[in-house]
Amino acid sequence: MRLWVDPYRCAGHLTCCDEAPELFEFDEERSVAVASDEEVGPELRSQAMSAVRLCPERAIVTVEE
Amino acid sequence: MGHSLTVFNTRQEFQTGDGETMLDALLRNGVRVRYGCRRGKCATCKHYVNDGEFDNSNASAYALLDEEREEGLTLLCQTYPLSDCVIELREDEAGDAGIRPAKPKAVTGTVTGVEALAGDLWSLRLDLDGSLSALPGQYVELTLPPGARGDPGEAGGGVSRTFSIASSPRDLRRLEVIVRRYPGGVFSGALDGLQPGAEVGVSGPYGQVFLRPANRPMILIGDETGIGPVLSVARYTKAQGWPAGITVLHVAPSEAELVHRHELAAWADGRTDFEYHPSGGLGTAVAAKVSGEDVDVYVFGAPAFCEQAVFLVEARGVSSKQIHVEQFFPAH
Repeated sequence: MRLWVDPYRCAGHLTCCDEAPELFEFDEERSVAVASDEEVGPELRSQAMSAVRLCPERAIVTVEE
Repeated sequence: MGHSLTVFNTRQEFQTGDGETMLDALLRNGVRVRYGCRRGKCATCKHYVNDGEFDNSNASAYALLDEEREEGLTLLCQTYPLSDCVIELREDEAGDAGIRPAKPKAVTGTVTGVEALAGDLWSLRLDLDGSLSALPGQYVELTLPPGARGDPGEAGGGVSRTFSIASSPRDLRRLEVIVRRYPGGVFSGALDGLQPGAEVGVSGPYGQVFLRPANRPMILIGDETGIGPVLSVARYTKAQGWPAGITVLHVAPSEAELVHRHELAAWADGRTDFEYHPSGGLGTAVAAKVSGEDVDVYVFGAPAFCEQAVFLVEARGVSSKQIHVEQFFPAH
């Protein structure tokens, strides 16, 4: 599973950066959160899903390949 | 050797890389700058160099007139600094969308599919070793692997061309582009020699024509290859929809060249917010489907197609501010 933050939906609440700092960072120039494009390892899966659930804009998408 | 580049408007200063154009240096550093094709064709990146030595001898006399050169204007995509330089951007239109594109970066793409769609139109699919964070409507630059050979038997390895992205940003590391194969083309002529597993250089995203957030209906107009970015927008909006409605006008001289028409037609059947209108003629398509002022229109295609589309759309009452145009110049 990989994560993607939809830049059209992200409003910069940074909830994801708080929930899973290993997986998300804030791009200050674009004022959006950006997800790591690496596969989410099992050790971070729970944090990832928590970030997905808590995003107020529903901007985080999980991509299964 | 790189040189210092200062942006007069913002006082930003940074170093250019070896052999790097001024435009690419600006984009690499996240500077908002007006530009288009990056090939010296569209003349969109015409800005001033106020100070310093530079080489813009490759800029075409048609895209950059002699009197403009004398005025200090240059095409940044064709300009290499020869000393430290100060540039002045004529205006900043890139930041008006409420959304900003990501900085371009370079990744490697592994060919997963090369498919002849119809006539000269091909689909090239790649798996990327990193995602580009492109917005729907943007394009990439592809560089052929060493040893690739084009139609005339000329080495196409190292040759770069730009192509709009047809895949959705949600696809992350998967990329599709629609390519027109030109007989004799060094790049496009090498397409059928590309085998799955071949590695292609990919850089991007580039381009300032991308989906703008708005609560207005959207009309997407694309020709045979211009349907690529239209597909990207349509595929992206498939998941959450576009409540105000999307109308796609797909124009090609024959039905076969309406590539991906089955995918688009299926969405029109399955989405209430999506209408697909394939057509052999731009004029009839616009007359049938474009009316009113409260609409955003995106046009992708060959320069003459875009010019005609803008003329027709404006005649239907759409303000030029709401018309977004990306011209595709031939990528031989």
